[in-house]
This record gives sequence, C-alpha cells and structure tokens, in this order.
Amino acid sequence: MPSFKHNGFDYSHYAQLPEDKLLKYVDRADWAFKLAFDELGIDINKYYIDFHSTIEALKRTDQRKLHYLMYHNSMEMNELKRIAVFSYWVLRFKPINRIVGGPPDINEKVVLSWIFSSIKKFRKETSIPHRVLSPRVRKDLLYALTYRDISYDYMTILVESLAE
Amino acid sequence: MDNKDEGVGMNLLIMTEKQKREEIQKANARTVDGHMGNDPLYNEEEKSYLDFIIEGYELKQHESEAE
Repeated sequence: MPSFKHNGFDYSHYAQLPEDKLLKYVDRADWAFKLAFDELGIDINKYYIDFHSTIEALKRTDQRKLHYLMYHNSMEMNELKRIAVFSYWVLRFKPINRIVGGPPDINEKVVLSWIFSSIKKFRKETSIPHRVLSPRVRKDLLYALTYRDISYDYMTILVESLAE
Repeated sequence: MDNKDEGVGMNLLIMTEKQKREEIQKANARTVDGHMGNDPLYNEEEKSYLDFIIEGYELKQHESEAE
C-alpha cells in the first residue's frame, strides 16, 4: 500500500479500529442481529453467533473505508456501501450457526433483512417513495445470496440499485 | 453452551462486556499489520452504518404501531 495522507495523518498501512470503537460496533451488531431475528420470527436462542467471525467482518468493512479514501479520490463511503461490504463479509464468515434445527440459510436471511431495513431508512432520508418487493424477487435475492458467487463490488451495486 | 474456551466457541449473544473487551484485546494483539492510537480517521464521531440498519427497523416498527 503506498503512503497516503488524510487530515494530516500519514497512512502506510491499515490502522486498526481502536478497542472502544470496535466494542461499540460489536454491541450495535449484536442489536442488529436481534432485530433481524425478531423480524424473521425466528428464535435467536436456537442460534450461536460467533464473536470472532463478527469482529472480523466489522474490521474488514472498516478497512474498505481507507481503501475508498486512497483509491477513489478521498471519497467517503456512504452508509449503503458500508452495509453492502459488511453484508458481503458476513456472508463470507457466516457468524450465525445453528445449535438445533432452523433454516440452513439463516446468514443470508439475516443479511437480506438488514439490506431491506437500511433501504427503508435510506428512502425515508432521501424522500424516495417506499415500495415493497414482490415475494418472487425476495426469493430470487435470497437464492442469489445463498448460491451465487457475489463479490463485494457486485453487492454494493445490488444494494444501491435496490435502494434507488 | 460453553463460553469459557479461549479463542473458540465465543457466543456473542451471551458474552459479557468484560469478555468482549478481553477478546478484542487478544484479537488486536494478534494483528501485526496495523497500529492503534490517536488516529483522526477512527476518532472522528460518525454515525455507524449499523445504526442505519437499526433505525430502519425502528421506522418499520413505528409504522406498524401507527397502523
């Protein structure tokens, strides 16, 4: 990674998230997991959410922030891009594990729920009228997240296209 | 469920804040490709993208309560 200056600070490599900030992110992720399970009507107590896979996904999402600043003319990633990158890493690390029973595609279901939730928030902020996707499209999206090979660039395009 | 095994088998849902902090310290200590400290990129107060997801759920909840 070449040297790069931002706000007077010199970056020659990724600067790790400070402990307090990462802890704050972990607590928010914990809450986001619980809200998704609530919405899906699935009992979260039947699942095990791996702590280390979660912090790995959070850290990698954060690394992308510096990548954008360096390679995209100091551009800040918007919320939807960050959510897309976080979703990508959650799908790679699959932190949610079944203890007993439950759907095998639970990681994909939770990610899809987060995407729809963030789109709702985005549309509210940008005054774009909200529309509900048909069950067929939702099913196709779940299938794509489960079985297709999706890069994070593709995930970013997918989330932003769904939101507009 | 055993949450005592070091480094493996850590269930986020049942961990205490102390356990989370200790695990983060261990994970950060293992990483050698970064530095921590008073880095403006990470200290600037920003709303987390996770808050954005959470607020979407809250919006949905308010709407269903209003209906």
